[in-house]
Amino acid sequence: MIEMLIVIPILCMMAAGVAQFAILFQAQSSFEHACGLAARYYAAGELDPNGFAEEVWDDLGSDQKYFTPGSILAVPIPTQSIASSGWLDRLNLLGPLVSKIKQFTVNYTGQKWFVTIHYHSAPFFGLLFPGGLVLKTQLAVLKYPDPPVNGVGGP
Amino acid sequence: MNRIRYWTQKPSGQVLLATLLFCFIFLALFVGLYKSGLLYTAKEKASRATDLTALSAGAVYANGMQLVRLTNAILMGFAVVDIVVMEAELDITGGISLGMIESADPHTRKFIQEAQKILFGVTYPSGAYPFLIFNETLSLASDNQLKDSWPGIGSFSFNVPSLPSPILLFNLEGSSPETSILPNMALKFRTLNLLLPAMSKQNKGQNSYRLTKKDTGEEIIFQQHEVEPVPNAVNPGQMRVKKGLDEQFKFVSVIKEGEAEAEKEASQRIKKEATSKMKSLFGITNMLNRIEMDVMDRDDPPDHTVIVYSNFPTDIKNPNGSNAEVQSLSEVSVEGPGLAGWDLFKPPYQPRLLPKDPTQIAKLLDIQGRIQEWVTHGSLPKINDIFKVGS
Repeated sequence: MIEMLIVIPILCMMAAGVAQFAILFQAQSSFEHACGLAARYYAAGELDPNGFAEEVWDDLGSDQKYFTPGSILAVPIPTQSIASSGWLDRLNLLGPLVSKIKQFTVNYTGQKWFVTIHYHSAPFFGLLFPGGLVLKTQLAVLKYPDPPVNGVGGP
Repeated sequence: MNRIRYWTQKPSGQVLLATLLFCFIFLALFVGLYKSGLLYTAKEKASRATDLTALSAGAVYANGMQLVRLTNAILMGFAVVDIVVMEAELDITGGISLGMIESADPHTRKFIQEAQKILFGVTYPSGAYPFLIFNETLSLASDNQLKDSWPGIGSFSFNVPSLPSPILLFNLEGSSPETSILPNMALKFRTLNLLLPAMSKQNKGQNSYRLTKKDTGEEIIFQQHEVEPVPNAVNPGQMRVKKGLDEQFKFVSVIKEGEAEAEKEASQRIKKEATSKMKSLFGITNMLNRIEMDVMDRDDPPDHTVIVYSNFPTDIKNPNGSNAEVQSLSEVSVEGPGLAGWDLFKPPYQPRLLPKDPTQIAKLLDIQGRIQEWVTHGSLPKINDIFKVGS
């Protein structure tokens, strides 16, 4: 009986650790998936780049319970694409006609995001990581058309 | 040694042994779970990154299709001048023969066609814009943390030690694997004999779309200008009601209104008769067939797809010490109402991510094997192999 008192807690702790890690991976996978969904909404022209973080939070659905509300942060940065390079935007300075021609010729744009979210620890996991974990990801996509032509592609 | 053996026969020793055994089992379970968890997350990331890279390739491709329309619209202006001059010339000479038509053609549209050849790779294996699609896709692959092992433009060392990644295949359905490796937009020049029926079809009128209310069964008809293609649609050619018409129908999918069968048959019969009469009357089909006009889709039905096959590097170590990579495949289709100059103000082409098809992977592995063979033997495919000429 005494022996069992020693063994059972150790085994329980290990079983709990396995379960906790499974939950962590589930949360991380769900977070990656939600980021992908939000990027596809952006690519379809139905999301403003500044509303990316809110969309990711919404797309998390029932898995929001794993994360700290309001902790999601999406930092938009330009992509390596030519469309995101500054020289193309400088053409707008040449006047409204050039800007209009550009809209008809190079009318795609892109966005890249660094997204972070705070995963708050589940009970046993908290012993290892009392402050929780910050999950990070990076993703980028180009969209066409931008701005919308004939009402298609606008947010 | 005897002391240990004696101790393990005691209850406390046996408990310790059992605990160690269970700890070992749980540790193995734990490591397995941890590795599979990491791989699962990497797979999710790889799939997402490849999807977004393919969608980006589709976005640049779709922008290119709008450029094709724009150049076609400019070309049509010159083509009208050419046709009018040809008609006037033939009226004066009073006869029709291939030599006469060719000598009467002032070719004012030629410089636009030359520009289209270079820009979009029409009749050429590739062009400037297809290379832009390729380059932009590689940029986005890097942004999405996919492995990019293509030699840079500034690099002159083309001794690629391993298979470059990601691999892009352009319009695979309508071409061979060898030609699909080269960036292309699957375009060709439309000849005059194809242009005339297309113009008459264009003048026939607009399509209409039907929406059936689920609760009342009431049917509402929308005109073409009131609908738009659904972005990232599940089905090809899916349309929805535009925003701003009526809030209750905003973005609701609609069905294309079918023409009455009799009307359809009658119109097809009349068109057939008219074409046949035109052919017999003038006997100029072969001549018209040689006069190149605007740019059209190379394949019928149009095929504008890009397949992205990528490698996503992970931190997980392989038994040989190298880092494991997750392979992923995505295909995007670029769809729209038409490339002709008169389609310029129609809704733009849209990229659509296609559902993953397992049979594509087998096809792709075959292509990957061929490329690997070229790379390891240090010889790129010959032009004859690519374009199937001289065989």
